[in-house]
Amino acid sequence: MGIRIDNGEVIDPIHEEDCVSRSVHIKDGKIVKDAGKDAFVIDAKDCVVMAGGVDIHTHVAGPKVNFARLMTPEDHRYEHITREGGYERSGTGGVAATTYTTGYRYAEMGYTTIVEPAVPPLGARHAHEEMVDIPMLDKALFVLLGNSEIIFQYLEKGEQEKVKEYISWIMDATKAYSVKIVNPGGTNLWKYRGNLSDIDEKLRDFNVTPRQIINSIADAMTELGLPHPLHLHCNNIGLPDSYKTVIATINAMEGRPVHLTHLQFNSYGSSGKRKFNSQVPALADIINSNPNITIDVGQVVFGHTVTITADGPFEYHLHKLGGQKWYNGDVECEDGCGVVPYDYKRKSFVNCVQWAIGLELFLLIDDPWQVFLTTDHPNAGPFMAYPTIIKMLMDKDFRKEQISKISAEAQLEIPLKVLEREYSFYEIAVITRAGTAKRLGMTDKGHIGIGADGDIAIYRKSNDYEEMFSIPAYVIKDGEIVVKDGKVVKQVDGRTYYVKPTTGHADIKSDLEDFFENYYTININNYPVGLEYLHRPQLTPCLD
Amino acid sequence: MITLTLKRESNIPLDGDVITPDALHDKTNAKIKSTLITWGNKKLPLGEFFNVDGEKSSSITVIGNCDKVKLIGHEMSFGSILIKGNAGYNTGSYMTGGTLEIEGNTRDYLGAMMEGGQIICNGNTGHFLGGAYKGESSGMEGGEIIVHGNAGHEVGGFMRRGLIVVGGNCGDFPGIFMLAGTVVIIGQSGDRAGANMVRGTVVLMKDAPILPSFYENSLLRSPAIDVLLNRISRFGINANPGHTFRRFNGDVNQIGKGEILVCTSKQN
Amino acid sequence: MVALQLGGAPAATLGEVKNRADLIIFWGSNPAESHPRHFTRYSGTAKGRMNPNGRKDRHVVVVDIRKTPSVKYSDEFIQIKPGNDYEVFTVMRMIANGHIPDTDMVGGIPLQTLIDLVERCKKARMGVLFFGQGITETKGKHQNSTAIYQFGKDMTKHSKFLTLPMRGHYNVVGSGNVMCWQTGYPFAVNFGKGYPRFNPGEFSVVDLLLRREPDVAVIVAAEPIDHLPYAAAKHLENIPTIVLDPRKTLTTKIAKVIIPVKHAGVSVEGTAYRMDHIPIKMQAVLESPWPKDDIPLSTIINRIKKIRSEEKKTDGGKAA
Repeated sequence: MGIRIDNGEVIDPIHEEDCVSRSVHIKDGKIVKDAGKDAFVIDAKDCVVMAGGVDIHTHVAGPKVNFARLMTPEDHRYEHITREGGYERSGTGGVAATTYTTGYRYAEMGYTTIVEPAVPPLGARHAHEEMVDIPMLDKALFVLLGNSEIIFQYLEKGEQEKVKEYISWIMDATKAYSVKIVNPGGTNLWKYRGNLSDIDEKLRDFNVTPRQIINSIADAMTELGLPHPLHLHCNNIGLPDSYKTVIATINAMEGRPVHLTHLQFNSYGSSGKRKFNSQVPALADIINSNPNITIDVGQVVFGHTVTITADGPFEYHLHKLGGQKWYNGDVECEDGCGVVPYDYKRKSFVNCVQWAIGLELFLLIDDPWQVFLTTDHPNAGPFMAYPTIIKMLMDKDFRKEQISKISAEAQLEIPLKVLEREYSFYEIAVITRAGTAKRLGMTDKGHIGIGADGDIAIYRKSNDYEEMFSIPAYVIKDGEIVVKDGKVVKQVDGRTYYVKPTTGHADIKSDLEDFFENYYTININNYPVGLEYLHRPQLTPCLD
Repeated sequence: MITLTLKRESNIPLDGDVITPDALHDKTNAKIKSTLITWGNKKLPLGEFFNVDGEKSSSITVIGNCDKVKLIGHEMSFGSILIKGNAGYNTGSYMTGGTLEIEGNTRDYLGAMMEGGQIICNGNTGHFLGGAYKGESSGMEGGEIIVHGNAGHEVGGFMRRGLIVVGGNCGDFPGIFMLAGTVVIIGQSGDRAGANMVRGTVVLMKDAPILPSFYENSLLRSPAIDVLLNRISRFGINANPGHTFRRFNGDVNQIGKGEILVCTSKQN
Repeated sequence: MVALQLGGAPAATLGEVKNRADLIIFWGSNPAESHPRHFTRYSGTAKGRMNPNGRKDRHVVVVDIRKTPSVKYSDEFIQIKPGNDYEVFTVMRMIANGHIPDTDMVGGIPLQTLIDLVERCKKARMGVLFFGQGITETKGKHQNSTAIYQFGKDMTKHSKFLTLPMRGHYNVVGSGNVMCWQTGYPFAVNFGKGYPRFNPGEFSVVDLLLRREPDVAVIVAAEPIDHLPYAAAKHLENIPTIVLDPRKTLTTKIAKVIIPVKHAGVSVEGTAYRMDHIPIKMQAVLESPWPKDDIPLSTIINRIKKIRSEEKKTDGGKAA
């Protein structure tokens, strides 16, 4: 049976529809012209109708997320969901929530697609097994290659074709959607307890610099026609003056398309009384004049969280600052990871500046198609805070009220205090679904045109945008009503998107066999993840 | 006064977190009887397990061997509970106020994560007395726990504030990871007292091995300790003031601001 | 596991050990007997990126209460008195943190030996401490592991240092991982209230059985009669015990119901997690007439669900 949504105001930025009153028809899981006479009718009077949300960067599955769950039983203890409460599977909450809880919570906010952006190739099997247990959502994962020793070896010899061939092989072996680079070179040096401070610094074991790594992988990805460009977590994250690294990286990219992820963590300067300030105005200027660059924010949310990143040295730095629990897990030949619980405090000057920087990025980057809403879940805060962030963007009075609550010293210094811009519904739709779907190259997502996936979120209009976006009237996934009044009513399983690039210009088989024999501890034949690990696998074609 | 008399003992544990003044003080007798209580994986009326006398009172007496009744006094914030018999796991956990007295023994995690109020246990108790649940970085945040009998390992782990007194002996690691607060062991303590303590005081009235990460720095006769011991003896525990203590500072692997006081004089 | 929850740990996959570690310490672990291939594949003689000569590029230390068979593969043996590991690690942490312990001898080990060992750790390119049941199952239990992880963290101030547990039993890491992503906790999970609760000591198997709380047991691919204390195992004889296992074991002997299933990783393909949390694909190599173990389990669950919903209908929703 189809579904027809009547009387709603459709916001579909991909088709430039801004509050257009029209009916939406869904049948067989897709948006269609006419759902037929027997269609179930939803009256969306006083509601906005948007495509299901698409989160471009959220850590929800994989080995390091599971370590975060393992390490934070104290968070799970105070929050849980039960079958009695209407859910198919019980689970516990907290910031690093269990897989089922994660799926339900996303759906209950109107999100239908997420991307797990940082999986080391060796952990891909684990990540896929976990993603099968995340219901309600379509999923994809990015594979981490910024510290891959195989790529370093090829770079040393200048064999770009082989880099390309390897990326193609590893993406198929891990059933990944795109490639992410985290602290290129730095995590490799962490294996000797080191780190990099400059993109032209050489590694210890390899005659390679971050500049080479980034450019080589970006070029290879463009040539392979991957739907999403390089997803980059820059060097020197979280440190004062990290904005200089971003500028150097952007310059080094020489116009190649790139997605700079959780840029908030890299927008710090070192001036001001406390030697820590916002450099968003400088970065926003560059981004505004480079349409090839997109970013997601990584908005800080005050409160308790747990940080999870492949940036091993940064996590150790954070652990030393606060003395919290710290887990480090280097991954052979590939990458590393670290987990540290953290509290963002309103009293802390640095945390407040970080919080303001996130909002400044939203407000100072002119084109919403270049800036996306994330909290880098759970690094800067849990994704459950999205509705609050949306309210801060749409309602400047609410924002000012929030500013008045942070550290007085920070209030004086942040550029945020003079910003008056307010987001419209249209712009919110861009930063939460249309823009992200477009940047991910998921052509079936993020819009309500004929042929798109039947993923719809219907929000009741309200002046309290937080309430509006946290309790959708309906959420429809693949043409089925799965959430009603902000509560899951039906559990469904989503697809896993992957990309299978082809090249065949270089032969790397014997290289790989040698490499695995010498440096890995598992057999190359046991390495690739087969399609049997994916639930409803969905192949996304490469660009020409 | 509400009196609950256990009428049905079973191997399968009851979750007694509904047995608190907070949950029962405004309920009629019939309402109390019909309050659901978790038994294994079922929820059944409390009246099936207890004879209920009285109603609408903030003082509760529980009679019977409640060894299998966990979580009595969980999150209680006022009033009083008297358990005439043993009590199970997690008794008085997350308690914020009121008094809880147990005439018999209890199992592990008595007064875990406690924030205020007073717990008196006349028998023995298990491990993790006044402790932190696994993963928590701070355990007991206030209140006092007086145990007349023996306690198990890790008394007052991750304690942040408050007082724990063990009248008998205790197992290893009393005051482990302690952040502040006071632990007094009148009987014989196990090994490794105060391991990884940050601040706070552990008083051992009998000599016990101290970890090398504590440096002995002085002999001490402190009026403050005498006041404390005087107060403890008022609970009927044999803690005579007037002793001299060896003072150890540590744990130097943390910041070294905790202290362990070991009584020098032979007692009893 | 509990130690990880208390403070975390510096760890890595075994390939890092193979490629970079030049100092290996086995503490309370006897790989020659318990993990016979560990030494050749990852830790002792394995050749890697920075260890092209294998064993010659590494210094191997064994710390144990007796001369185990592993000692003959080591460069250095340090004998420790039983039950003193916590004290020894406390002193090693003090040395690493720059304090001078006020003692000459700890746990039967001369202080100078420990100072030398810590110095060696500091100078190492990458030091790795493997610890086994000799330390996790003795006096102090999980606090011993905590002390080791803390030592690892203290050493990280000076040089790269890893602390890795030598986990035993096939795929124990895998079950921990799955439990963790589904419930948030790695073991000792109680669903009695309709959601996962965790409290080792209260909800762990041995304690539950010792208190005789379970009134039915379903055992999947485990050997409790062989591994648990006698008093705990005894309770399984007194209650209906249902065992899913491909083999005859001591546990199947006492079981009321035995459901033969395929042997995971032998007759049915699947994933197993190595001790360093790397998932490995297992191929099916033998034919077996039995079903996969999830089939009987899901059949039972579906049947219970059906009975429950029928109960609800007849009771008008009164049944819990």
